[in-house]
Amino acid sequence: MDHLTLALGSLLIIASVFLVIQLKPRLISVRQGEALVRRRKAWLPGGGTTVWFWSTHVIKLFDRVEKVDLTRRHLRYDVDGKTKDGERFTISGELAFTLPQTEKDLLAVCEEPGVEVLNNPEALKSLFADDFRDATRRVAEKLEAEKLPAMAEDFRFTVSDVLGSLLPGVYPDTHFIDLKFQ
Amino acid sequence: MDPIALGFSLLIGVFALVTLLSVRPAKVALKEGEALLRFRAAFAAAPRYADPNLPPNGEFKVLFKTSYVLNFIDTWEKLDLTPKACIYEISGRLCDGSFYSLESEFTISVPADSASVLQVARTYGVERASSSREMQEVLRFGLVEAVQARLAGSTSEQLLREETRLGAEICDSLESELTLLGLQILDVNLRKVRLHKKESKSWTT
Repeated sequence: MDHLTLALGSLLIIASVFLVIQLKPRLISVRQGEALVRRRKAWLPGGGTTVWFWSTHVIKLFDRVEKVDLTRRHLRYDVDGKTKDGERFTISGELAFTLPQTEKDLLAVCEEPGVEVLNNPEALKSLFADDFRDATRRVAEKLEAEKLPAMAEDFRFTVSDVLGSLLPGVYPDTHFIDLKFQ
Repeated sequence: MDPIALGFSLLIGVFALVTLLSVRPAKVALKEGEALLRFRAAFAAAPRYADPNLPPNGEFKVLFKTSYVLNFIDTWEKLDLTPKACIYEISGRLCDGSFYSLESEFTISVPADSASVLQVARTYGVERASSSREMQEVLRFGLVEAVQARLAGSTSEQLLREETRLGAEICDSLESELTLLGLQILDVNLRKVRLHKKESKSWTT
């Protein structure tokens, strides 16, 4: 066998092995509380952005995949403000929520604010900080200082209502502790 | 035998052995108070679920005893179901104007049924839900809020004499909220109660 044929043959075998590795479907493990976002060029079969809530196979050559943490988030803030009768207070608040568990809403939040922000607790905390503090202050402004400690449950439900939907399919739950008047 | 045929046979034999080893069932030993969450890939299981978040042909299964898994098609995790103690130092103000500080111990568990185990695993992730320290931190605001809200309507006398009743009431108030998260509250114990006339100054123990 001449050298050129041998070299071309070897090259072809190496290229085939490389292609097979790239085209081989790989099982990506998705644990409970996670989702897999798969982006595939639209012109390819099964193309577009899809969400998987369970382990699935991806093709390295065509797919770009990211995991999204779907577990409950607990963002904590210190808030100060004034009650209806002018008393200044400080309170520690928690904004808890779970990312959407449906494909449509999860796709929407993966586009805006994006997977990077969703997986970064500090970025998420900054994203909702102003809304949470404003909602807490607005609700506290309507209550008298004496009544506030005994109305913890109403207070937190009202703050959650004022906040409304944080993102598509994301509904907040709030908790408040350590109320102090100055 | 021809050496080439022997070589090929050996190669095929090794390949078959490696394949058999990789698909053999692996035993996952479970201790008392543990659950195994197993997801089997779509082509290997039959049941279909109404829940759109579940795979069309895949299968989530919660198992409570030692089981076998097939690592090439299964994704599995172990969840610790044993009761976890969440202990917090809490202070606040009572309705008679005095201040208190106390230690509160909440005993939280995951009920040993498939629906609750799946709910908790999805809400917190298996790793977090299995760790006492992490669950204590995650649940801190909700549990401390329940104590402070209940005691805001109590007097110092009630707090000193009726700790057990107050603990039971706090336990009841938390039940529905924790059930939604897949958790169960077993007990609330208020102890080391101290009362102060002013914030941070000890009055009585």
